[in-house]
Amino acid sequence: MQEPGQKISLIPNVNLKTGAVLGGIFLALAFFPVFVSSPFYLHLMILIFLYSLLGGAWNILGGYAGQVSLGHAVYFGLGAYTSTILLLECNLSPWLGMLAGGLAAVLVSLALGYPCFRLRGHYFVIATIALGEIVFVLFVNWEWVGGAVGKYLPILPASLASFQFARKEPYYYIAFAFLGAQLLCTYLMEKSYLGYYFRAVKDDPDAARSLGINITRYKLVAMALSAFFVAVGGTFYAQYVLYIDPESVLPMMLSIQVCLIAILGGVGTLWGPVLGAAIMIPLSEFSRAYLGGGGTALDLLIYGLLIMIIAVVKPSGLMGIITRK
Amino acid sequence: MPEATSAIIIQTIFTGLLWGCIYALIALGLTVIFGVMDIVNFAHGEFLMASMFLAYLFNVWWGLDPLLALPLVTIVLFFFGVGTYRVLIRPVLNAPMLAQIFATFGLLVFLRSLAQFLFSADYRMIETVAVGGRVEVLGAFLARPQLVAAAGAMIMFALVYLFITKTKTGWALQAVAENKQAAALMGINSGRMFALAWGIGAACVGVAGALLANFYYVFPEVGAIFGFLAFVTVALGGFGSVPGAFFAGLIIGVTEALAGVFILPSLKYAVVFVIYLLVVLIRPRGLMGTA
Amino acid sequence: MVFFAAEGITKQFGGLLACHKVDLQINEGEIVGLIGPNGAGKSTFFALVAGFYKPDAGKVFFLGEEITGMAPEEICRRGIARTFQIVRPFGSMTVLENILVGAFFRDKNKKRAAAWAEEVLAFTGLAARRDVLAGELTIADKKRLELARALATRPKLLLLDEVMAGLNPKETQEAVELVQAINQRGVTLFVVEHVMEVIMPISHRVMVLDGGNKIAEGPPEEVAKNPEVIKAYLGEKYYAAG
Repeated sequence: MQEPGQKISLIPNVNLKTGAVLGGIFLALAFFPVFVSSPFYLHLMILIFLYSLLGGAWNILGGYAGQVSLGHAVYFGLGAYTSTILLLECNLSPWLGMLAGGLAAVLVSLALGYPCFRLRGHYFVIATIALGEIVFVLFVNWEWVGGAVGKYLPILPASLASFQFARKEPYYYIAFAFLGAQLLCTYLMEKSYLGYYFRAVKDDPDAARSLGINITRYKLVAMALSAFFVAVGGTFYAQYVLYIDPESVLPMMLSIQVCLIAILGGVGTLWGPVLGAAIMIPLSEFSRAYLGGGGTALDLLIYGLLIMIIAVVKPSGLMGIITRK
Repeated sequence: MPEATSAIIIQTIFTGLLWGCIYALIALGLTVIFGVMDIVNFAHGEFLMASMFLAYLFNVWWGLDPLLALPLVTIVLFFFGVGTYRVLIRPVLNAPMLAQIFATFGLLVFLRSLAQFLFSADYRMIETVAVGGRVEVLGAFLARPQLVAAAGAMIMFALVYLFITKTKTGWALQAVAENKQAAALMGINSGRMFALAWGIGAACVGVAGALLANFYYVFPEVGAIFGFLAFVTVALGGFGSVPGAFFAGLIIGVTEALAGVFILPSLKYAVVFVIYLLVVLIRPRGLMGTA
Repeated sequence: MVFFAAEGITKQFGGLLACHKVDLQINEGEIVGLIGPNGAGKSTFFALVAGFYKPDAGKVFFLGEEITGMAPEEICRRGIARTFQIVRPFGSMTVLENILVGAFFRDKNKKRAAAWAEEVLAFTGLAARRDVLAGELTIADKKRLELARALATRPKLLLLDEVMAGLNPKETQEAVELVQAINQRGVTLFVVEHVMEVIMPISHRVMVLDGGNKIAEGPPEEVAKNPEVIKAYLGEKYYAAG
C-alpha cells in the first residue's frame, strides 16, 4: 500500500553537510598526533576518547533503554582488574585479557541486572549505587587483587602485542579506534530493532510488553552491551596508567562522571556523550593544570551548575541545541 | 555468653540505636519530599553537609555552640529547601524522571564541589562544645553529644510527625501526597505544599546537621555517606512512609554498628547495602511502602 | 478447536469481587463486544485476558493452548494484541516509529518491518501524521495509533479497550469503520466499550458484565431487550453515541 515516490524507509538520511563535517573532524583527529606532539594535549585527547567511550557505553543502557545506572564503575573496575590479574598471574596478553574482562563484565552485569531490573525508577538507581559501593568495599578488602594498595602492571617491552608503549601516540590511536568501534556499534544498534525496543522500554514498559517485547530481556541486552564497552575502557586505562587500585578504577565518582558526561551531551543520542566528554574533560584537565591542582573541584562545580541548567532548560542535553529538538 | 561479649553487644546496640535516630531524621526529610511529590532529592546528603558547615562556621565566626546555632541553621535550611524547590524543582515538575534525577543530581555535584572549593577537602571538627564527655547507661558508655543528638533527632521527628498528622496544613500536605487533583479541587495550592515539603525536608537535615556537627567531622564529602544511608533507609522503610523511615533508621543504625564490630569495620556499609538489596528485591516497595 | 475461551474467570481485589466465574467463547472471525456500566469489571476482565493480571481462579485458552496468567509478551507471541484504555503512545517516537515497534515483533528485519509498518500506517489512516511525535497527537489519533501499533504485531485476536471513548461522532464513525475493516482482513476482535450504542451495530455477539458477573450474552438485538441488562444500565442515561 506504499504510495510510489513517497520517501518510505527509515534508512539514514545521510546529509551531505553533516557527512562533510564528520569527515573533516575524523581527518583532523586522525592526523592530530602528526602535528601536535605535546604530551599534555595527547593525554587530554586520550582522556576525551576514553570518557566518550564510557559515556557512550553508559548511554546505551541509561540513555536509550532509560535504566539509569550509577554503578558503572563496577564494570570499569572489572575490565581493569581482570586483564591485569590475568597478565600478572597467567601472563595472558592484555588483548585477550581485555576480552576476558569484557566477558566478565557482561556476566556480572547480567547476574546483577536480572534481579535489579525488577525494580523501577528510584529503587533501581539506588540499587546500582549500592552495588557499586559493595563491589568497591569488596575489592578494598580483597588482598589477592592487591586490596587498597592496588596492583602495578609489569613493565614490558613496548609493542602492540604487549599493549604497552613508551609514547602516547599509540595509545591515542587505540583509544580512537575503541571509541570508533563503540560508536559504530551504537549506531547500528540505534538503527536496528534494538534501538526501537530500547526506546519503547524507556517510554512505556507496559505498552512495550503488550507489543510482545520481553522488557527484562532487552534491558539485559542493553546492560550487557553497556558493561562490555565500559570494561574495555577499564583495560585500556590499566594499560595506559599501568597501575590500578580501587580508588582509581572503582570509585563512585567515576560512575557519576560517566553518567554526567552522557547527560551533559544528551542522553539517547549517538554523539551526545562525545560532546559531553569534549566539554567536560578539558574543563577538568585545564582547571587541574592551571587552577592549582585537582583539590579545588572547580571543574565539578561548573559541571554541577551545567547539569542543573541543562535539566531545567534543556533536558535533551547539548545535542538538543544542535539538533534543535 | 561471656560477660565481655554481651557488654560489647549492649554497647554496640546502644550506639547503633543512637545513630539510628539520626539516620531516621535524615531519612524523614527525604521521605517527606518524596511522599508529597514523587521526587528523590539526590542532594539530600549535601543539604546535611551544608547545615553541618553552617553550624561549624557559626562556631568559628561567633563562637556559637552548635546546639545554640541549631534553630538558626534549621531556619536557613528551611528557606534553602524552599528556594531549591522554586528555582530548580518547579521547572522540572512535569519533565521526564531523568530530568528530575539530573536536576537534584546536578545540585549534589554543585554543592559538594562548592564546599570543596571554598573549604578544601579537609576534615574539620568543632573544638570545644558545651555538651561533651560520656555517660554510662546499663553498662554501656555513650558519648553525651551523641545522646543529645539522638534525643534531638527524635524530638524533631516527633514534631514533624505531629505537624503532618495533627495540623490542618499537615493534612493538606497529606492530601496533596494522596491525590494532587483531588487536593486541588479542595482548594489546596499544591505548589505551596511542594515548597513546604522541601522546606520541611531540608529543615530535618538542618536539625540533624547541627546535632551532628557537635561531635562529628565536618568535610565536603560528609554528605555522601549520610545521604546514601538516607536513600537506603527510605527505600527500606518504603518511599514516602514516615513510620517506615523511623523503623528503617533504627534497623540501619543497629545493623551497621553490629557489622562494624562483628564483621569488619571497613565492611559495615557494604552490609547495609546488601540488606537494602535483599529488602527491595524481596519487597520492591520497601518494608512499609504502598504504591 | 475453540478459537478463544475463558472459563470461570474470577478475580478479587481485597474485598472487591471484580470478576466472578465469567465464561466467554469467541469464534474465529467474530467481533465480540463486552459492555457494562462503570465498575462492572470490564477492565479487570480485559486485563486478565491480556496477561496483565493473573486470575484467582479460571482458565483462559487460545487456539487450544492454555494461556492463563501468561506474561503480556507471551500472550502477544501467541497472537493476541491489545490497546490501552488510557492511551500509552511512545511519546518520544513518531507515529511511524510507534507502529514500527509493533511491526518488529514478527520480523526483526528493518526493511521488511518498515514496509509492513507503512502498510499499517496507510490502512489505519494515519499516513498524514506519519512523522509527527506521538505525544503531540490529538486524542482521536492517539487512539488510532494504539490500534495501529497493536495491529502491527499481526494478531489473530485483537483486544480493544474503549478505543472509542471520548471521541466525537465523526471520529467514532471513523473508528467503527476501521474496526470493521480490520475484521474484514480476518482479525477476530474483542471490543470493550462503555457506551452500548457504539458496540451494538458492529458486534456479532455481545457479553454484558455487571458487578463482576456475566448477566447476558447473545446477539446484540436480543441482549438489548434483556430486562437484566436494561436494569443494569438504568440510571445510566441511554444516550446516543457521542
